[in-house]
Amino acid sequence: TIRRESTARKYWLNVNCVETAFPIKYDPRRLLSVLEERRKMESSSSECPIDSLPPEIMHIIFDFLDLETLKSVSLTCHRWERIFAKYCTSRFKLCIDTKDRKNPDSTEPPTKRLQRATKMLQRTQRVYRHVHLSLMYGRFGPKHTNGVFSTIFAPHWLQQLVVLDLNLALDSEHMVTEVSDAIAKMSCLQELSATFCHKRPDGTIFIGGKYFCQFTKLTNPSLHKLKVRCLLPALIDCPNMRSLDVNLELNKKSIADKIYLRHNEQEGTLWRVEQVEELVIDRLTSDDDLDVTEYLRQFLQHMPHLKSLRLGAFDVPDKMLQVIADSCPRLEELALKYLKVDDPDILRHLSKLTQLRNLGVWYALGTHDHPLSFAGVKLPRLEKLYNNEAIFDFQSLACIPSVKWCKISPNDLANILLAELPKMPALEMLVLEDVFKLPDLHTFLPPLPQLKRLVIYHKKEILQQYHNTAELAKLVPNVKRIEMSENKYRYQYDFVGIF
Amino acid sequence: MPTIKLQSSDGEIFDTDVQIAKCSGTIKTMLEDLGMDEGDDEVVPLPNVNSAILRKVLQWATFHKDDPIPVEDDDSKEKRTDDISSWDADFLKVDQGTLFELILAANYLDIKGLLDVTCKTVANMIKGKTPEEIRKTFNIKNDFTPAEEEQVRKENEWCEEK
Repeated sequence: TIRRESTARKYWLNVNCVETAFPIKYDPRRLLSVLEERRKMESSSSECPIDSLPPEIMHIIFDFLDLETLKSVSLTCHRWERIFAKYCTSRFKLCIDTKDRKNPDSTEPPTKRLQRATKMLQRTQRVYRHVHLSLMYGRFGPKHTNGVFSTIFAPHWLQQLVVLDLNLALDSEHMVTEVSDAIAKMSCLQELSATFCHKRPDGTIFIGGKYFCQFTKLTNPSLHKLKVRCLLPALIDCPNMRSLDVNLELNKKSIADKIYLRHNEQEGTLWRVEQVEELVIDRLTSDDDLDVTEYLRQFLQHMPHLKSLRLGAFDVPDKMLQVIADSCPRLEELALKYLKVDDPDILRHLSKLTQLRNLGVWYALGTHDHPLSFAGVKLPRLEKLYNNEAIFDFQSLACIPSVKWCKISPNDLANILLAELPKMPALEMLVLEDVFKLPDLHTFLPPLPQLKRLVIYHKKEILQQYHNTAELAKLVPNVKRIEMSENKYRYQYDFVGIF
Repeated sequence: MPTIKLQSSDGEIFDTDVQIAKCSGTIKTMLEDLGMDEGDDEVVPLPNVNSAILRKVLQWATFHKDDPIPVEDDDSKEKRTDDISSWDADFLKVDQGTLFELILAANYLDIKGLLDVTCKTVANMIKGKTPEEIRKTFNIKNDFTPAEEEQVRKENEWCEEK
């Protein structure tokens, strides 16, 4: 027995051992639970065995439950309420909207609703990270809004907010300053979405004006992602901002004279944007005869590190593609909404974008007459091609053989299009939207052994009547399960991000 | 087939295939980091798992030893609970005490597949129920005063999906 004692090494997997032997790989969550487990094993009564599960495990169980059930969970007892309170702040958001969107028939006045919310905010123990505050609906004076601002802009809130959506109707410059000052002090803020509308003295809201632009100064040390609407702030200075999402109205007053980011200039607008990698211009418009393309060129010049550009304009002409290709040599992702096609070879300008991996085209105008052609286009790294109601010259798809993911809407030309797919050897995922004559798809889809995923979007009633999956499966032997969906936006984000 | 000896909290020794024992991330890490050699006359004590539970855990691990490594999905939406295999469903027809002990053992031994399926089973016992029904299911005593309960309701009212 003595010999056995000396040779049989014993590794008790207890806390001491964990601390010394598994300093990196060991999951501290499990370490905690070991401690708690022991405590519980000693104390838990046989009456309520689920009390033996520590909070970390209850959180794993909560991951499988919907919000409504979890609200019931929080109402069962103090212990479960505490466990849920901690859990909910990472998975859910606090949503204060003066309009009760869940009960549109609610007769509660917005002022009353806001008062209730303020009262709750003042008492809550929950440490919410993601807050949505929408004060667009209803008429209320400063005494109501001050209550909610003074609560949510209290020091402990400023230190806990990570994601903040603000939809505010503001009636004074003073309030704009107050909100700007609070944002500047949010030390953990990662994402901010801000819509500041002007509220007239009679309480009506004026959307789309630029009333508060000159008073809005957005500065924050941690902010990563900024989205602004109805507003072009006079100052954007967030050194960590990598993503910017704006509606730019290019006219002489707002842009030509101001938005140009000459950093050492005393006067005018200053946006620190040289570190931006992702730019979304949801709506690029011009209300005068100025050349929008020229302004875009100047704007893009300030963002030499841009990797992703999503651009929506009333029409994106030929010249604009040229400007983008010249100004953004590092672009990896490009999405265009309302491309105006006068010339089927418009895409040739993109050949300068040698790093381009994802390309999306929405609503190309004129492609019925001039299908977009990839002939002569050199995009050696292109992997994902997304198309929504734009027509490609299908025979030119063979010119982009590197494409791995492709989303297309095969309309009445489906048979020609699909016949070209075997020429795309790298194709792994194919998303087909609104296939013309879906029941016959298997008769004109060629065998595609290279495919690993096949997704088909269509109207629900058409999908319900579709019974030829077995024939289809024979053509794509390496697809495990053909995915049918009526939600056509489901994979959009995987391709080129949300517009 | 190399084996190692696992010792439960009540002293029972389980001679176990190394491959099966390695379903447990905790045991796998230990074998790798501490360089325990296969075939050594070593005993791995598992002081948090009793023999009845360890027997079940090993039964589960034996059946699932060829499963692919589960992938993490960080989808913030609720995860599915309707995909429990019929073998697992039968395996988990046990009393609540045993189920929770299995969860604790799976957590302690770091067996993701078992932790997942046991937690799903508990989630299914909760899903769609009212507070009173949940209390009844788990024999929970309502320790809220009506005022406290009202306060929680008020808090919940403003909590929404992201």
